[in-house]
Amino acid sequence: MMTRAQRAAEDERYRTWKGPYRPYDIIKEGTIAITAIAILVVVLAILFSSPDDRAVTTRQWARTMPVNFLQTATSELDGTSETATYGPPYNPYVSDSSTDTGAPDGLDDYTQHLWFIHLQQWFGVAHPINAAKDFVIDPLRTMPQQPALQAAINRYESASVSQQEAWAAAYTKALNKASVAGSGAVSVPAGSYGPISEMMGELLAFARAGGLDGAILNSGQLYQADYTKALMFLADGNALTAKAQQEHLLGNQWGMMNETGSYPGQVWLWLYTFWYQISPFSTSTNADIDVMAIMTVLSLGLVLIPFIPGIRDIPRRVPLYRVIWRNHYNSLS
Amino acid sequence: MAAIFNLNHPASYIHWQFIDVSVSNVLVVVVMFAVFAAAILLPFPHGHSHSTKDDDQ
Repeated sequence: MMTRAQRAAEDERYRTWKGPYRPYDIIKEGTIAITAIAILVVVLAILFSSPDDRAVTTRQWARTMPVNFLQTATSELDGTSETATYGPPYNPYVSDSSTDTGAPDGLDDYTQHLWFIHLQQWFGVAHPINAAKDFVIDPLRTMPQQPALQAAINRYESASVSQQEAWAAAYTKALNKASVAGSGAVSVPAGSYGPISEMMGELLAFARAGGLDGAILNSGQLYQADYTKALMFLADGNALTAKAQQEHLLGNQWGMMNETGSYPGQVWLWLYTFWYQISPFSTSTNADIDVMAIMTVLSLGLVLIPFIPGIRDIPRRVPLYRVIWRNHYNSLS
Repeated sequence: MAAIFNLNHPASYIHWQFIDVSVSNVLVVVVMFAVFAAAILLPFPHGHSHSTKDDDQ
């Protein structure tokens, strides 16, 4: 191993190069590389094209899984869905006795954290979603010339929270015994559902007609480029999960490195998704921040290879460079 | 325009223990290793056009 003095002497020796020179045209080499890659891209595009899967929509979901659609929509309405209870960045998390550990920093252990790092709470509600309003009530409010529906919504909104919860709980229970008609309409046994039965029937019809996709996406802007709400609503149901599972895109299927169809995916993410496959990360509710921390440490290790004793000496122990520059070293010997 | 080889169909996967890799991803990895080996083993182009002793191949 080189001493500090030897390394300084070598640096000094190479400060002014007195050996021979050879011509090297970097513009020529760059042009050749870019041209070759461009030709390769065009040839591969002609041969294989690109992934072209149809978008998953609420219309499709409402048509193929109407009962699951209604179960999900009801859970959005009564605030029990995954999106409604997610916490930051979609909504403020309201702690209760089952999740609040009484941490001295005042932060709730429900959200993902690592030691004193509570990124999820620190960044707060950056993309607010009010599940009941954004997924159910506002879309229903956009339906014109439906006085009975508007009256049902008014009745729901003016009821007490406990009444709303009782209606939703009864309707959710009834959906387990629901039957689906040939037209796609869902029938449930008679019960005390208040206005929810009518609201959900209209929401299902709206979704089946394709109107709900646009209503959820509507942000008031000219161009709609934020699909977060539509995606969160779909993710609360079973249609998107079923599609993702079929395409091997779930987190526990190494999905991060896969692509739809038979196309190769993001192979370079193998190490990132690897951690999600093994215990304790595969079952941890804190997995995201844990994996992020591990990958940060490993990435720092990669950047700092020249400074890590042992690792930085690998080229001396495994002299691969002598194979690359073999003619030079053969000529020296 | 339709592709000559249509890959919009369900993929084949290789399962081993907890590892689950698509055949297309494995092929990409194999090609990357092949390119790496070729980059090391193939001689430099026009390596002998310069006659200095410290020249590369």
